[in-house]
Amino acid sequence: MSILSAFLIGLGLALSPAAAGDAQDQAILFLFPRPEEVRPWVPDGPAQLAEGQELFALIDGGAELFLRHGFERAAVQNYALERDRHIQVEIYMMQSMDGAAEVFARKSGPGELPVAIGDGGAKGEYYVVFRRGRFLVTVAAGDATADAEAAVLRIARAIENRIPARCP
Amino acid sequence: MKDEWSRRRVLAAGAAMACGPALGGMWPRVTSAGAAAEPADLCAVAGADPYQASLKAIEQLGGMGRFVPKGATVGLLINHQFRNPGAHVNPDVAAAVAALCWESGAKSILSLKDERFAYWPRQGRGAEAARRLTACSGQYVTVEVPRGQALRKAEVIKELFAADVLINVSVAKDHDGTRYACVLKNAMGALTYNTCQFFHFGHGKGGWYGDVGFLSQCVADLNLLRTPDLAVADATTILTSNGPFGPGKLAKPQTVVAGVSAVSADAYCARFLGVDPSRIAMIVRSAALGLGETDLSKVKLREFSI
Repeated sequence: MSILSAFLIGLGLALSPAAAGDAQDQAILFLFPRPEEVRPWVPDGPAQLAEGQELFALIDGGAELFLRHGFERAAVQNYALERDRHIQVEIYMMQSMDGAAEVFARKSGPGELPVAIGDGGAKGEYYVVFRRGRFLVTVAAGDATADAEAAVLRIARAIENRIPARCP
Repeated sequence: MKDEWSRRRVLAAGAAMACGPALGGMWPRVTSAGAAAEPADLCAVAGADPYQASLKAIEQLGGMGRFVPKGATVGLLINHQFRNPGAHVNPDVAAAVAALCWESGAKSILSLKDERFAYWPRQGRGAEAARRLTACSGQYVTVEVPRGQALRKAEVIKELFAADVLINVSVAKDHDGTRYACVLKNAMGALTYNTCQFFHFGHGKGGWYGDVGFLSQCVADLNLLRTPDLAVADATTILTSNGPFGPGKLAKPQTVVAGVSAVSADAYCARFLGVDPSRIAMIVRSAALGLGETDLSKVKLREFSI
């Protein structure tokens, strides 16, 4: 059994053998919060997935940092509120905790506030970035209003709680 | 911000009052909107409204009619790939450019890059102008780059050459590899992923940013292939760290810059990132190819606050 399949089972999700391959690819999707955890924000389209070099197609030059430190796969999900407001959630699964820590160190810098989330978190004006195990997560709103800020933190906490303490 | 144009208007008005009767129609005509007979080549407008700032900046270049004749097909290359704040062109800036193109009598406006998310305003100013854009075909052609030093061949979106007029609409922002990205770098938006990879790996040294000099030369060569007729740089809200994708720290210069040269527009906008344009290889190399002036004292520059 792959570690990711075990991870899914850990989340209470049974898998058929035929689905196991796809599930391995898509296990990362189960880290996104449930709809009731993000309301009134709603998912805006399906999540986008990238594995290995595909990350360049997803985030262009931003991919270099992740690939340099052992990137495995990523998923990006957008959430919308009303017509023009959005929150973008990116979950990156690295090959190791060290990789996640390296990326986190680059993505968090002076001027950001430390936030007690995961194994290390930082908060900017409109976003939160944190790492937990070998996952690196960014949650960013399109604006810096108080309700967006609260939603960003709520989503970040929900993802944190869905990453097992001893994650694969 | 220095209001050079206001100063010039005062001087011109004063001189006109003194000499006007003798000189007749020789003085620059100033319209009620403030446009002059002699257009600027680079204009920066600071203001809280990006749409109005864009209109004003282009007006000071002589208006969109200087670039878009009636019946022209316009290619718009907009940096709207990344959703994080400061990583994409403010939609109001792009919408203002599109609206001006229609007003000038453009026959069609081709969007040279498909947006990845619901980018355009669905209502209000510029929404109708944006709705009338033609999406690009997604078909690419392979072309030679005759004077290219690093880039000899490129796969570019077909419509890049179908357009009579090319307008590059970009955002000034931090870039992990080149330190700064705006108009010149945005030209890569017209390329296939394969060609972009060549920019990054064609030097053979390994690493996405293994040779920034090579990458910068490729960017310069690409701009040689199809130089934008009009460069519009959004510096309203810009990403100052974790670029080009973000999220990261933001600065809000609240400025829109328009110019006839991508090099000069980039040389101007580098200040918003606190970088010296003479240290940005893609700007220096593009200037060396004759694509524009980096010495802004030699450029007809106007700066406004509105």
